[in-house]
Amino acid sequence: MRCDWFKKNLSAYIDGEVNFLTRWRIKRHLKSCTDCYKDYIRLKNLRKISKIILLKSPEPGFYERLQAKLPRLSPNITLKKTGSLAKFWMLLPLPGKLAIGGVAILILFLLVIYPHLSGSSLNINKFEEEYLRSKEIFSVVEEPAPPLLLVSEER
Amino acid sequence: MGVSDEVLVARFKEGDESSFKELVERYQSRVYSIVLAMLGDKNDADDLSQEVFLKVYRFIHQFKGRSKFFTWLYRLTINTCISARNKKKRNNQILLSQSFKKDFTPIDTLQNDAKSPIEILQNRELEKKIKLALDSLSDGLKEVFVLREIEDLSYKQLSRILHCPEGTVKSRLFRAREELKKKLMPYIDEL
Ligand SMILES: [Zn+2]
Repeated sequence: MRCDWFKKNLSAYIDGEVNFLTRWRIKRHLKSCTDCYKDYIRLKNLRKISKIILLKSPEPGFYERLQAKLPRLSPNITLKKTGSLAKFWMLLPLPGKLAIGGVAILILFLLVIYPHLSGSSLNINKFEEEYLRSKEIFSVVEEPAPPLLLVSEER
Repeated sequence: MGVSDEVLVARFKEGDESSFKELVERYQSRVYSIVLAMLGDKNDADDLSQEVFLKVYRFIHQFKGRSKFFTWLYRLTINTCISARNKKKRNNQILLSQSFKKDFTPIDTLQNDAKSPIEILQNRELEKKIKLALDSLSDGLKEVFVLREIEDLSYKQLSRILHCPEGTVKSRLFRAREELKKKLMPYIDEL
């Protein structure tokens, strides 16, 4: 009964897909149980043999043979052609995109927003006040002198 | 280190055929090995591997990059194999079984006469036995075993490719190995 649990987990064990505790338990059990150890060796051999048998390469000229089939497909294929700038942007890694975005925001801030925040910015109230004051200085209206009244003293 | 799959896919989407060539050359052996293991026929494997890459060429715009390129590629490979296999089964069921009976001896009746691992692996006949044992697995067990052995994919990656929980990957691999172990016992005991 106890060995069943180990045998069930041996497959995941050889794949390195068990947690630390399970790995430790299996490792310890394999040292003391010849039956499970035999099973473990069989699994390892199966793996070795399978890898050699399964890994194959196609006949040489695979791409050339494939290429011969591609032109027949080309009318249906719409591979988008875009400009080099769009291509550059697409291939740019994320940190690069973020850096460019950051610089663009900074430039926008310096050119458009910053001047309005500083002391020398245009203040409409102040402007209006100055305008009215200047008007006061230059439009002095000379009032006519009051008529000179000759007052005769009556005796 | 070479250019990543993601960059090659992006370039290919932009119309750069040399990136497609690089992707093909990078994955042709693995795709071919999966197809060969799934179907067991060299001629079919070559044609079908090409079909997989033709699908990549045609449907690359459907790949949105939400998963790794190889996840998408291996899913495509497995689907292509399964549909080809089903088609062949329907069309050629009787002929296929006859040719297997003629070409192969059942595993159980084989004598283990090889002396060393190298001798064993050099034995073309033995290779056929192993392939036959593989062929006796159901598609569900075979695909997980083949992908694991060819690509050393983690259970997490396998679960993404095969659209099943990691626990299912684990139990299918266990069952596949149990079946293969039973059928190939004389050979794997000797190594
Ligand atoms: Zn045991």
